[in-house]
Amino acid sequence: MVKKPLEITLIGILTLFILLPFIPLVIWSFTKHWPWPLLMPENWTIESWTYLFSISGRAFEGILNSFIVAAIALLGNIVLGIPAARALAQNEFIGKNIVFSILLAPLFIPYTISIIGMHDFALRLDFLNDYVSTAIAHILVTLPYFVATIWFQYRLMGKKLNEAASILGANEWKIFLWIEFPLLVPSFLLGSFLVLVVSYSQYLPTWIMSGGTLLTLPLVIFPYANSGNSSIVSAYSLLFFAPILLLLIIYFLLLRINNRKNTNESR
Amino acid sequence: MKKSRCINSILIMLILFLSACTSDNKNETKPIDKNILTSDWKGIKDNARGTKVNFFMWGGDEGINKYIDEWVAPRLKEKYNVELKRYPMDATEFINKLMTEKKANKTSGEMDVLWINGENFKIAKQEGLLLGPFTEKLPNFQNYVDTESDDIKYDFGFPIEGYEAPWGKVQFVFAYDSSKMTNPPKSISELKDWVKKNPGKFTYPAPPDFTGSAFVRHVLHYQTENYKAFLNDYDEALIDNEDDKVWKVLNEMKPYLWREGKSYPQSIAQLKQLYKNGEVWMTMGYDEANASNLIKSGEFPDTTRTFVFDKGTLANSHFLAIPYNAPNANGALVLIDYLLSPEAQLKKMDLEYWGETMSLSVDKLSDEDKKVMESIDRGKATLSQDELSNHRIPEIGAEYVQWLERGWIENVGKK
Repeated sequence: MVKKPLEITLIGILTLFILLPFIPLVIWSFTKHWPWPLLMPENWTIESWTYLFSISGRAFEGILNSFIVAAIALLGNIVLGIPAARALAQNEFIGKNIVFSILLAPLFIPYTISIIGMHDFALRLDFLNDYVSTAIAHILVTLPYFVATIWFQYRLMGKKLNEAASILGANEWKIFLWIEFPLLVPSFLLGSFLVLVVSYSQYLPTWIMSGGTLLTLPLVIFPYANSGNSSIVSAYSLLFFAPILLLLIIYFLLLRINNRKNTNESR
Repeated sequence: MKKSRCINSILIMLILFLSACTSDNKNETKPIDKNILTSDWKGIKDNARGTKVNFFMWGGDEGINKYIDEWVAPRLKEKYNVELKRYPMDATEFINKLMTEKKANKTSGEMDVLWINGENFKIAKQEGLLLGPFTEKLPNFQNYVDTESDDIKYDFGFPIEGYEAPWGKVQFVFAYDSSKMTNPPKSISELKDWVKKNPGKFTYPAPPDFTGSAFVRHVLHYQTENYKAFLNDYDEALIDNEDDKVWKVLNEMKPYLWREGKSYPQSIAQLKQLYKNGEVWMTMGYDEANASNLIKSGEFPDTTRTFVFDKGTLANSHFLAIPYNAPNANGALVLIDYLLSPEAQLKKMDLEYWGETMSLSVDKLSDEDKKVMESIDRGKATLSQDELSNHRIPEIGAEYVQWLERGWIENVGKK
């Protein structure tokens, strides 16, 4: 693969654009005092990081809660999203476009409107565990991403393989398990990644559904956002980014394993 | 046919899953016992044993958070067998949350203790969001608090009537870098002269920021002859005579402020940042120990010192309250009482965690506690207790505060 110089410079600029803001974050997280004209701070300290992982900093609690909610939300997405995407991609029925728009609605309805509705909903769902009620709100927010990715893959697949299998006597479950799902894997991975990341960074839905008592990472970080304590805020921001990076790596690994398996099988 | 069976099985699974998830801990919370306000202290303590109490408070300061999580929580567990869980939330947010719950008739909420004062307390009390008068129940309140003083009886001019217990006192101080200036100004007029001689080295956060608004109240205090009238009920006639004097001084200062007064810091955090960077030489804040704290953590230069005006600076108290639907009011009372104990209050005064003035009356402390208090190191930038308490001025009513904030935007900010 030969890369043109222009291409390389463009990618380089883009990388810098994404990476540069991280440098001051890293520096700030290791110092308390970094006045403007100095290129580097004079005193370094790991206080902010030790605070983060102390009882008060609640870094682990935040990450754990975030992931429990994200996992439940992903489960909900799978149960609701795959059948919905399948029905939309493979069947023709009256009002299909309307159903599709409603499913995607959370993407383009202003957040504030759905939040007001959610508030009322939250009080009625009071009997539910905080994790579950929060995850329900997250499903609402993440479902469009999931349905859209899965739907697209179903459209690409078409119905021909299903029909062939059905003629050979396979039932619905078998068709799904042995034909559709293996073909779905790449988009399933992408959709799951999106769901986890979007759920992970939600603040308002979590706040409203749990009444501020389920301390996911955004809820732990938020009180510091306006405190003017740059060091703590920087450390939390980096902490917030770490699991996303991890998820991204897992996504690429799984994708590669899947691709390799497919090439092996086709040989 | 097959397809519908498949959908059915999915639905049944979903319902089973959701019903399995309904939590036990929430069903346990029963509507609170209104009798709690009539039962005796021993009964309250016994009922609180083995419970969990949820403390909702502003969470933007590591020192305060550590004080609660690392110092108070383990001791509360050991002494009273009460588990303490801190939730970070701004006061306006939990008041809104309470209002929604009240409208929906939610009898058992999630919050047991709130950290509150001023406007938020006034709303909460007027809207019936609080449990009721409880301070009389608390032994430590009875024994150590000066129950007759004005800053315990009124919160920003609003009668407290036992609906909240005083947790601490703070006083407004100015901070300056003693390596850059030697004689800090002692009044608003001296400050004005100083600003004119040192253009660009002073500014204040734009009201309605909490600190900026307090700074403007100091100007009012200096410019008006009858400051006392502002402590009483709202009276429009009073304003008409006084407001021009306030805006006049601020507008005279304006061209000599940081960036010629064309823009102001939006928050105290931004002002502190300017001070840390050395762009301005003074900062301010409603916390007399904050400068010492920031020197200790290395954020402020070592040469930072604080000062108050000759005629004094604003002081107020902040409080702890119990919401009307607290799931564990017994535990809440035990926690508040413990936070008012000399032991907890003296530790709070220590710079190690927080460094804030006690809400207890020094005269009522035992000799032993007095000795401990004198030995506490409050940091080199903190003024002595005597100097602070001799330079205190009370807060004006909440409506006047709002009027000053609106007036500033109209008459100073926009000009």
